[in-house]
Amino acid sequence: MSNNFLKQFKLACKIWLVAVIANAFLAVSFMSIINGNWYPWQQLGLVLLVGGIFSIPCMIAVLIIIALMAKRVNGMRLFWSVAAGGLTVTVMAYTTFMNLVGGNNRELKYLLLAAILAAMVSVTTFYRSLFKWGRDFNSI
Amino acid sequence: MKNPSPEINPTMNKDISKVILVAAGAVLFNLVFWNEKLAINTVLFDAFLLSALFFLYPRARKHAIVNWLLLGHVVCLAMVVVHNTGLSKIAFTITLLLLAGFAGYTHRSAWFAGGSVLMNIVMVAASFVEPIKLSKGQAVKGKGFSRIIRFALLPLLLVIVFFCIYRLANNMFSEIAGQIELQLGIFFSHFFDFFSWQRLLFLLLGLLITGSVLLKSKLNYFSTREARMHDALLRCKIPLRKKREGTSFRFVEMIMGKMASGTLALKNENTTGIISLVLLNVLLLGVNLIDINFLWLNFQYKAGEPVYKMVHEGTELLIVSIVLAMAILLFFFKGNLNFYKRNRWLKYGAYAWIAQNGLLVCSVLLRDYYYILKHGLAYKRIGVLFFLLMVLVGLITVFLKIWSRKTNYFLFRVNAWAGITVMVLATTIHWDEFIAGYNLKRKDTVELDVPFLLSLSDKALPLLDTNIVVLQNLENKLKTDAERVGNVYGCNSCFTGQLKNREAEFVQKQKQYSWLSWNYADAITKRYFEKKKTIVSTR
Repeated sequence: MSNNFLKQFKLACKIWLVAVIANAFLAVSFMSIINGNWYPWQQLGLVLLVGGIFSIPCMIAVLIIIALMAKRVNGMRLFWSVAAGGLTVTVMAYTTFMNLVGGNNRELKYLLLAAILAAMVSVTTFYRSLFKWGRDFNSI
Repeated sequence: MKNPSPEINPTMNKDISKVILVAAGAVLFNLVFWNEKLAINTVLFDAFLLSALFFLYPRARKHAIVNWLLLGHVVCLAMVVVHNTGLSKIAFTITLLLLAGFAGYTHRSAWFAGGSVLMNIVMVAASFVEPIKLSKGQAVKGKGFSRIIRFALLPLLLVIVFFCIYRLANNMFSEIAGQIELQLGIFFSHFFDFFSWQRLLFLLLGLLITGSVLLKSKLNYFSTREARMHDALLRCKIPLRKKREGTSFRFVEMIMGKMASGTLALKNENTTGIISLVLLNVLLLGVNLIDINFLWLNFQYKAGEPVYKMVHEGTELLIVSIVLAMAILLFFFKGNLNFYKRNRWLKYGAYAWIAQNGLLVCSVLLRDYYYILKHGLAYKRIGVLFFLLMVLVGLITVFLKIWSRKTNYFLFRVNAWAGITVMVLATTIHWDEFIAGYNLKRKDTVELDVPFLLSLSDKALPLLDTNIVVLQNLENKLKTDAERVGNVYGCNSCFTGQLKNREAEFVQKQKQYSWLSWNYADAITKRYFEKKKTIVSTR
């Protein structure tokens, strides 16, 4: 395995980890506001675990996008590709989760908002690292 | 000998001060807006934001655009306090965000400034974290937070173990420790009452808003793009290979074949443009002649046909016509055809097309006028007036673009500024009060839509209350009509009852707010009801 791929893998893992933590925090906050029966601290661990498992495909998608586009396209394009790809797979992961849970609850739709916000926060937090993998990094 | 103190980096200091200002802004947002409405509290928050903005970007105040926008923003802020309408709040937000865009970046166009602000919003998390990361990276080794934790870990563990042992061994010590625990428990329960999850999310919202205004994203995408834009159209020779990459050229080539790319391409394009504009002008002339005959000279309300149908159809036609007119003219005058020596007739055709669209605007204005005359004022009817004003500005700028060979960038830039000016001016009127006043004043000639009047904002309540006899008469009339037909009279038309409910709701709502939600509109309404002894003074 090349050194570059390991670095890309590390970056994808970092993005995923921040997204999972942000998602757990936001989801618990939203749900505790909407539903009074939610006890935030007790459910935080559960949301972290479930969110972590269901978002593994997102991490893989981000890794694939970085590996395929790194050094081939410019930094800005790579950044937006990761953002768009990450958000798309996030929506897909949410849909899969909803189908498995069988929930058609209106309240649960706030979880999608939490997931999208978390994905955006994590990708933008690592924008500098993503730009480094762009073809034009030394020229900007 | 080396200097032991680390070098002070001014950029780093500024980054840290940005983070501190954003955090302070978020706390202030939380304090002034929690369970309150946008009113006098907006002045406090805005004063902080503007001071911080001009502290971080001091050069911004030297730009004329920023100063004009600041004036518009202050007008909107004043209107939030005076009228407290939805429109004033929206205009306040838009002008604030644009001000942040113009202060942080180099822009001339509101569109690009808007793009930069959007980038700020998207990148707010990165902009907030980055300065903290950088300052950490440049900190002196060995003074990190992790080092402190490592030093404190073992002593803390020892203290906990021995605390437990002493507590078990000594009853007196255990009792005192229990008391301390109890007090700490009470303190933390109150602490978490204050910092509820809702409050925490609200704090995050404050961080997002303050961060979007104060933190400039490192990606200058929109300002770099705008730096390449010019108002004046320049003649340029583009190689055919490069031309073929463009979508518009491929579209032209698909229709005109080889005529689009030969040596006479410009002449052919000119001829096609003239033919198209002549045909379109003839077509629109027909529509305008019909309007002049039936609408301008011989207008009569038709018995069976509702007036709203006529207005809606007219407006839709205008929208389609204007969009088409703009698109067609922008298409023909996009490049070197502006500099073609024999484009005189094409230009005449374009001017005629613009003038005819102006005539169409007047026709729709007349339609709207007849509609208002019969049914009174309403939001959409006023909206149509503003739309027509913007259309007129659009047509004038298209004319200017062709006349003085300007770019599309100029066209969109000027129109955006016109839009902002209209929006700021529109905030200076309390439309709900204006509508209610206008319609009630003409109660004998206008068909009053009472449910609509009752749905207007609180500022209109005193006006409705002074005209309660009119509402009562209408209610009685509807009741009599229903009884005559033999229907059971429901309470959908209990207008006076509904008005009393609205008044009670207003009084109830006002009790929930503190001085932070004070605004002139509510104060006037409150004073009116206090005079009427609706509100029993607590004094």
